[in-house]
Amino acid sequence: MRKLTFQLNLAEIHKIKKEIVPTLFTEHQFNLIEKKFSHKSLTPSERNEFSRTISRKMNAIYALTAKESSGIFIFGKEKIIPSRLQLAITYLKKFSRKFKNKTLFITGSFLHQEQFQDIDIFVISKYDKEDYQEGKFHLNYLSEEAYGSLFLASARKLCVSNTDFSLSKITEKITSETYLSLYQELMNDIQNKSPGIKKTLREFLLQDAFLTKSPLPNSLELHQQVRIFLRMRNPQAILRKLFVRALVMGMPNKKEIIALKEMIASYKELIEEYPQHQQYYGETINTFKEVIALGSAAV
Amino acid sequence: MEVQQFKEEVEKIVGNTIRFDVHFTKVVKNLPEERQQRILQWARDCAAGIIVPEPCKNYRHLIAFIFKSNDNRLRGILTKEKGSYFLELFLDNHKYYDEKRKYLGL
Repeated sequence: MRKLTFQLNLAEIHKIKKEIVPTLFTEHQFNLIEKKFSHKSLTPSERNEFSRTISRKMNAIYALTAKESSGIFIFGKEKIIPSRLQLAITYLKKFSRKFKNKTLFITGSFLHQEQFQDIDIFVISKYDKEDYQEGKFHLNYLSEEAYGSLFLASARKLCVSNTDFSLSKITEKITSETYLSLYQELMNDIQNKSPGIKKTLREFLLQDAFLTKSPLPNSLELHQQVRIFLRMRNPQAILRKLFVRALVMGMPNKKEIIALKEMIASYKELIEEYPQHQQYYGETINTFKEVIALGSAAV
Repeated sequence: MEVQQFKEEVEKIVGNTIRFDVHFTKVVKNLPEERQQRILQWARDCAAGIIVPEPCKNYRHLIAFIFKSNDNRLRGILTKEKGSYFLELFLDNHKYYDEKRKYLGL
């Protein structure tokens, strides 16, 4: 019960009063909750009623929303392998003692795949530090800006955390420019058979979902999408279509169209210097031309 | 391989116009021999035109070659003047790599 008083605030309770009275609590019970969270003293009979009825209901609500009373928050519980969930909670508690007062969460394939490479533990810290490996754990430091990142918005759909960040909003600036850079990197990764392709592909799919206003994929969905793409003989063909769709749906402005035209000019210069990569550059030029043609018609 | 020797090897491959990013010495110092050799091979592939370079949006006279290690924790960017000499070799983790990419417009 002590935990609930930390998690709820009076302003929020007032906002949702219509939804919880009388569905979950009577008017009288609601007044008691209000009194309790205003730190006003309760009479013995009120205290009795609170502990016998209200706190039990609240705990049941917390159980339904998969929030444990031990300070561990589970997101996407139904997609987590049960035995891994228990382990994740144990690990999170262990590392929370090591990183006192820090936001920690575990996400990634450890939670939903039988086979996994390492256990990704993310630590949100004021100070940027180098990531490191500690046995099977991969400790990743994120700056506080991560609270508003697209990555966290996706991660919090399927993770185990010591902090409730379900209300965090995306503040990261995702634009056609960031998406274009990512597309450029992704195609280059594929062309050069770079080992970083999975990470770039995950970021690309997240930005794509964001820009096309589609639901953000969670860790499991991203894992599956990446696997499908990597099995394709020619993933570039589909990625090009996604790229064109996202940019055209975002209604490119004149500045963006000029930027694309400049990129085309740069790629044409590269063909002269590196004729052996003509096909790769030619396909990129054609993709940009398609965006310009469709985007100009929409402007 | 010592850092100085590694730098000399890079110069032999891409020419002595090359500069090394400020973190370069620190990063190379901690690299195992096998990874150093992989980076040298990548530099050879860049010089031979095997690796595909990308144009830099913010510096239109530049192009860049990208390196990623197998575990994806080490990243490299080798910049070059279009149609001319190699300029700078950057090596660091993905956080600094992202900053460098944004700076170059990659």
